[in-house]
Amino acid sequence: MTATDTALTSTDATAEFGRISLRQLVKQFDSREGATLAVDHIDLDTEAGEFVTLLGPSGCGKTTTLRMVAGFETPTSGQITLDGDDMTRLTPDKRPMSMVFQSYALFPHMSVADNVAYGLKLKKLPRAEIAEQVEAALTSMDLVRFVNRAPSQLSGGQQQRVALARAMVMRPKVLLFDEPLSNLDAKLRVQMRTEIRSLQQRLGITALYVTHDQDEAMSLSDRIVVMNHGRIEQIGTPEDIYRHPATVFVADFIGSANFLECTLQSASDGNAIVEVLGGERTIPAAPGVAAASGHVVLVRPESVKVSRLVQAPAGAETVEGNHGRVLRSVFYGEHVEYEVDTAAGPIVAIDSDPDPSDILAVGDVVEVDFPRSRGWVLPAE
Amino acid sequence: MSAGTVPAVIEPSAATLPTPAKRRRTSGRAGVDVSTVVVVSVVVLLLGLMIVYPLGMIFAQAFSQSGWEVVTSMFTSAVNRGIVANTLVLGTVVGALGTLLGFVLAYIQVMVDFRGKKIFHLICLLPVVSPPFAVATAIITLLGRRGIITYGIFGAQTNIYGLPGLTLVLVLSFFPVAYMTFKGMLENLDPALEEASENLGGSKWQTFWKVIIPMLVPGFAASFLLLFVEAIADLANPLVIGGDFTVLASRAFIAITGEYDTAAGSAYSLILLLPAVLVFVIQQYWVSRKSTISVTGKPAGQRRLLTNPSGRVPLLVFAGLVGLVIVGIYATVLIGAFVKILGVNNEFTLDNFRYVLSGIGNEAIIDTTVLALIATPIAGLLGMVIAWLVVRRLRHGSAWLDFLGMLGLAVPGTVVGIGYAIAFNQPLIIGNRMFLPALGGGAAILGGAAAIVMVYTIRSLPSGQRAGIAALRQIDPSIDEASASLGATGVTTFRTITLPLIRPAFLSGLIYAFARSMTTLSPIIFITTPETRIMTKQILAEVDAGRFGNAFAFCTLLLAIVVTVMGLLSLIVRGNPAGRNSVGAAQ
Ligand SMILES: Nc1ncnc2c1ncn2[C@@H]1O[C@H](COP(=O)(O)OP(=O)(O)OP(=O)(O)O)[C@@H](O)[C@H]1O
Ligand SMILES: [Mg+2]
Repeated sequence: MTATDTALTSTDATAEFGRISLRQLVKQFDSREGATLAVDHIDLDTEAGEFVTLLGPSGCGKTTTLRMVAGFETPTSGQITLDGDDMTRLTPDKRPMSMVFQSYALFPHMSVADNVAYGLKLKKLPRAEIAEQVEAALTSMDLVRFVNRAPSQLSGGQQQRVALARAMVMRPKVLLFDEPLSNLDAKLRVQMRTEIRSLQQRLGITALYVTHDQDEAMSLSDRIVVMNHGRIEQIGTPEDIYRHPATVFVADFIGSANFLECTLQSASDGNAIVEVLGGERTIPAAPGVAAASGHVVLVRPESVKVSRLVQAPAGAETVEGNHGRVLRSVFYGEHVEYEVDTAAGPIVAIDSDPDPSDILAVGDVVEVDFPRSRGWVLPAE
Repeated sequence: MSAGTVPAVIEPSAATLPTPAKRRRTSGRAGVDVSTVVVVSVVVLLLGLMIVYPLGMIFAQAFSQSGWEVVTSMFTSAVNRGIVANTLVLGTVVGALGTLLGFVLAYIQVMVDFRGKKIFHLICLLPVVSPPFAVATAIITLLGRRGIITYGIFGAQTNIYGLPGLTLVLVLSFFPVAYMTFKGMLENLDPALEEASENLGGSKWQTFWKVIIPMLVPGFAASFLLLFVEAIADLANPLVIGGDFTVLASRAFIAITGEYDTAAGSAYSLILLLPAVLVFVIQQYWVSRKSTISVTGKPAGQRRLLTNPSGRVPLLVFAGLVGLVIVGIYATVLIGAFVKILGVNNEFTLDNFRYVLSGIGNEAIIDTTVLALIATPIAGLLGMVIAWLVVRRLRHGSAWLDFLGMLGLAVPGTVVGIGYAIAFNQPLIIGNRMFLPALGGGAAILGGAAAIVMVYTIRSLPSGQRAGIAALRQIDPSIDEASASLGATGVTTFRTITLPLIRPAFLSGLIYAFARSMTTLSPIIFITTPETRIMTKQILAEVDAGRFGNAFAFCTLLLAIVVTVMGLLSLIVRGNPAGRNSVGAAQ
């Protein structure tokens, strides 16, 4: 971004609008083959100016949820409010929200300037004001060179900026995104998400963003909503979701995860005493583990420490207690990844920047450990 | 992915505090846009008036006592059984031969290597824009009892009237429908399929039978059914060249115009209507869904054309012969317009044109052109609106609206005409109040022009609707949604986004609509008035009176008008690239 983006540097960045609430939102699609419950009783509240991402596997209902908020789908039941006003039955054009589409959806018969001016013209703003705002929006998105071009004469990234400018210039209370970056190449995607984030923060507009790319979700969001089968599995900050997932599904979906078999001895105050890797340990635990019947300990690969046993205990089983044997060792350059067979199941470990002499080989007998604070006890599925 | 790449950008966020929701109900039903409701109501009302109501009148008459007697006599009376059989035979023969001819010509056009593809294509399309009678009268002149070819060259006194002549004329008139269907399908057939077959050891011949033909089966079914409907619905040709071979359409015509028996006319119409609509429904909603080839994409890959002489030579000879016949027919029309009596007295004269351009003929040309020009944009716009409602706006009932719009094509023109005569030749009076003045017939307001415009509209609406639906299906729906998301109502979106994007389809729909209006006869014949003269009806009068020279002159003028207007319209299409108007903003 340059210093020229005057109009889009909003003064009401702290404005108190854009609080979306979804209450028991349901969407069922009926077709000849039967009914699909695409969205299943969802509750969600956003803060004003918050960036919330819907994340989940394909078909989990992210797009459907977003389209209900936008007004393109009618909820089967439930309620959508914006700053306390019921939106549920409003048509899309009456909702103070703008959407950015995966396919950009630029009007192919209009120039870049006309595309951006479209919504303002519908608002019947004076010509001069439209011109001014369009100019400012195009300047801030670095698009001034392209004002008179047709969308088909732009690259994918440029088209996406036009789509963004067209949505932003409306000063909506909420910006909606449905996988806006998925048609761009990897590098551009990283660049665009930084732009989206800084623009959104500067304008203080609430954003609801759909993606199935977890890097995108992590880097953009204030909070992430993890969905599965039309339901919300967890809502939390990226750190929360990563370190303290509520379910095995979330832990598995975000990043990579080791789930160690364990036996729960007792649980209290957010900690649990479990027997794992041949020893008793006190480990932070998810709420409600005490009530669950089976348990696992989540340890992220980068938290696992493996060290070569100089002296393998003679005669003893090598895969026992906290001992294991290396099954796989892959050198990736910036890190080495191991898979170790242990009594608690196979464990993946990542050693970043290891000393060349410390790199383990397949068949090595190792000791496996992890810092207490990096473990997380979860109810098994 | 590996866990190590999760970025460290983690920002603190406020705790999740559910905001107390002030409840404020907004009115309006779920997701329904008021402007859309208004548009749907208007469209349904118009379609109701223009097609549903006249059809309803036919049903009412056919199910009246005297009407029902005629309906049952279709099974009891030998004469009527014969008429029904004639109709079905004609439909079947024309459907089969027309499909075959269309397929062979399309195959040659797409698959065989030869020069002059463009001109051959135009020749194949010529019959589409030709007035009724043009082919029939030319065939009579060439092959009739005193035909230039049959009598003049071979000295034979052939009888061309009846099923053989009718078949010849109808096949030549309607095969372009099949030709276009197959041409589209063949062009979209991925050449890689043929190459794959040959690569697996199939010869050209085996590939043709085992790969190409099976993929075209839906095309065969579709064009057979379409031609069947066209053939049984046709009225002009059975009148001119049918002889004693009476079909339902001509029988209904005699009942109305000769016997003044609307009940009987309605009964014949009903019997004609049922197979026509049935076949149409099968074609539109069943056969076309089975298609394995989409006819809308861009041609895929480069095709290797057939160059092997053993296949190429016979095919090209055949194509040349067909081309010669078509050109010969139109040459006959053209020359016939400029000579005294073609084949008898070949002296050059402008008398035919002098006659046609004076008095009644002149009026007819002006009236027809003006009314067609009025109806064309109405039909085009209505077709686009229906297409838009069907593809984009309606969740429920879109199939019904689509069907209603297509009725103008599905219902034979004769039936439409008789329905109009019954419905609109008297004022509509319920109780003591007149709801609608007479729109057609002798006492009609505006000299019957309103009914004719309505007929033109309802008959040419389907082509626009089809073109519009095809075009809309190609436009990403999120473009509409983007417009709504920026604050546009449904109608604004249609006006500012949809219509400009489908303009090429819109204009080609208009071109076809105009050609169709100018050349339509069967519905018009029942509702013309002395004040409003229509060319096609005048041509019929000239043919009836045996003044072929005048008929040829009329046909030539009609063709000239149609071609001129089509040319003008396509100039507009080309000379108007999208994306010109831009705001003065940020420049
Ligand atoms: N119009 C529709 N009719 C019937 N079922 C639908 C319709 N739209 C979505 N669905 C179904 O609803 C479920 C949720 O779809 P949705 O598009 O919301 O998934 P998503 O989370 O956005 O997936 P993706 O990441 O692949 O985009 C899916 O099972 C889908 O098949
Ligand atoms: Mg989606």
